[in-house]
Amino acid sequence: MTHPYRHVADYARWDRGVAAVPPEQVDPVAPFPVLLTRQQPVVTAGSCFAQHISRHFKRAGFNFLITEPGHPLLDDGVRATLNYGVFSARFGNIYTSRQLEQLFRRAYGTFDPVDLTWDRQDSRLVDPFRPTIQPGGFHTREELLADRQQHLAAVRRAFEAASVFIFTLGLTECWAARADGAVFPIAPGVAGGTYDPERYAFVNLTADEVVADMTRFIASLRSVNPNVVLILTVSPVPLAATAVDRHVLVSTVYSKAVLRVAAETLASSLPRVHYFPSYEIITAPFSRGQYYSDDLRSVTEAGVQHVMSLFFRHAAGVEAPLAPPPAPAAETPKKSDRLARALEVLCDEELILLADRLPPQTST
Amino acid sequence: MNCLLEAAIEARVPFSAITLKGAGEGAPLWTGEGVSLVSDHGFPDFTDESKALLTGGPEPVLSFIGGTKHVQLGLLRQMDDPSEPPFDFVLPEAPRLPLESGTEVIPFDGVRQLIRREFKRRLRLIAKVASLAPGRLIQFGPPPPVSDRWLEPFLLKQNVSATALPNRLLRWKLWRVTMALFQEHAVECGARFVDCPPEALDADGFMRDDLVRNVTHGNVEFGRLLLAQVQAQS
Repeated sequence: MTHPYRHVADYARWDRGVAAVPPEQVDPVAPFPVLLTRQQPVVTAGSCFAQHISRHFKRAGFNFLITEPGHPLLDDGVRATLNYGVFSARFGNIYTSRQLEQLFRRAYGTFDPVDLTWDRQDSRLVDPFRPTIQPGGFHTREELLADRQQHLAAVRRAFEAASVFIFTLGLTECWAARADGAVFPIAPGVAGGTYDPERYAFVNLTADEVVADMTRFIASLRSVNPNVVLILTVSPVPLAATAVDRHVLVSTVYSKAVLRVAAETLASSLPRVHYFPSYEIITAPFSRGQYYSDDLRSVTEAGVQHVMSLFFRHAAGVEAPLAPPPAPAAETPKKSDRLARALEVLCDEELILLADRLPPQTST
Repeated sequence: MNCLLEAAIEARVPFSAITLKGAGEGAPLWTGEGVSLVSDHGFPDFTDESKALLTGGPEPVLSFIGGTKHVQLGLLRQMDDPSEPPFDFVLPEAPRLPLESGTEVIPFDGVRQLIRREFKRRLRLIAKVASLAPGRLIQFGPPPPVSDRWLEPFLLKQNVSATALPNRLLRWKLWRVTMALFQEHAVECGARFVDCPPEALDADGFMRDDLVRNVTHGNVEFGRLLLAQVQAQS
């Protein structure tokens, strides 16, 4: 007796694709088109899980494009503290499709939100669209606006230079300004600003809204970068809290379901848009919850490794990512050395001049 | 430091001084009438003679421990290193100063970290001196930046094209950050901090041209102003 499931691939059957496979070998990705070469510029953005993707791209010898790396005068530790290099530009976490779509419009000057700055209790300021990007906040409005202008230029460079744009959808719940619909990554009052129900409204995006946001964003992106390929993922990190009066677990499942449906819709309806199942790899029963840390939210490094090894295998045809290239060889002496020496020489000259002015030497 | 020492010599104020220059082995460089000058850079530690000088007596210990790192940073544009694009930053005490176009804006907190890193060894040295002379240390800030008039011949002498002079506002802002850092550190170390005498500054906050010896130092007249400030505060 024959039926439609008789000859499906092993990966299409739960017993052969999941239950009978050692957990670390479960591979739900196939089929996936090979997209990436090591030379193609890859841009990443999204929720906190996207930070893991960025980190692995940096280590794996791919062309992880960072258009806002921080000035080279700053050492690596300071740049990391200031959140440079976490993503391709210093945009912090982009949790929602609406935030991403508005970021594009802000970068290209077609959306100018009313909320320019948010105050902190210590009188410093935060960028409402990146409230945690500058630890301790910005000192002045002028500093914040100059940094934002520079940031949005870096965002444009990233959008325009990407061969592959990887976006991790994280949340559906967000907060928006009633005045103009500007969406923020964190609710006003959490990391700056003041929560005022008259000014801000809670929004819980539907699947249709996520699809609409992303469709607009992809069209905009392709207006400046026609050949860009998009890879969508859904963050497996549960909601930290829900603004809906129900259990956070119920809100989490709802949000992730919406995002998963939206990603599927986009991947199946738009050209050169693909879905990568990192959400499934982390959350499916085969891992028996071991890909979550003790807080049952954070993803363990083993889980991230599982995701990224499958990503590199399927999206780049690479089994063992290469180590980062060696640091460049020492350069020849620079003009900076010469000037620095000249300034030191001035100090030494000072000593000589002083000796000339001292009283007659009586002993040495 | 030398400008103050010269002023002190001129005013016949006796003093003992330790210079961080020279071989640093604690040997006296000069000993004159009421004046002694030894070379000791304090690394890895001061010599016993220098420690005795610092710990003995109730007199205040004047520290000019500083450096030129902030000046170097202000000259980076002249350094032809494409990996280090010209930079600028917004100084919180003067946020409306214009930023130079085409520069990369570094967050102020990053600039502070950068300056702190560049002066790390000198700051440690101040702490060391403060611990040897508790309650007696008076720390001076670095001298203010000089006007472009002084910078151009200096750069030409180094065979560096002076067609585009370094951003003068950047040089001033870096000095202000450095001053604030040294002041903060002095207070943390229990030392008193002496700011630049206001009368030594021109209308733009740079060192008055008539007080300049070279791009990083004041002349004896600047030293007289410092000496007067110390004596007025003593």
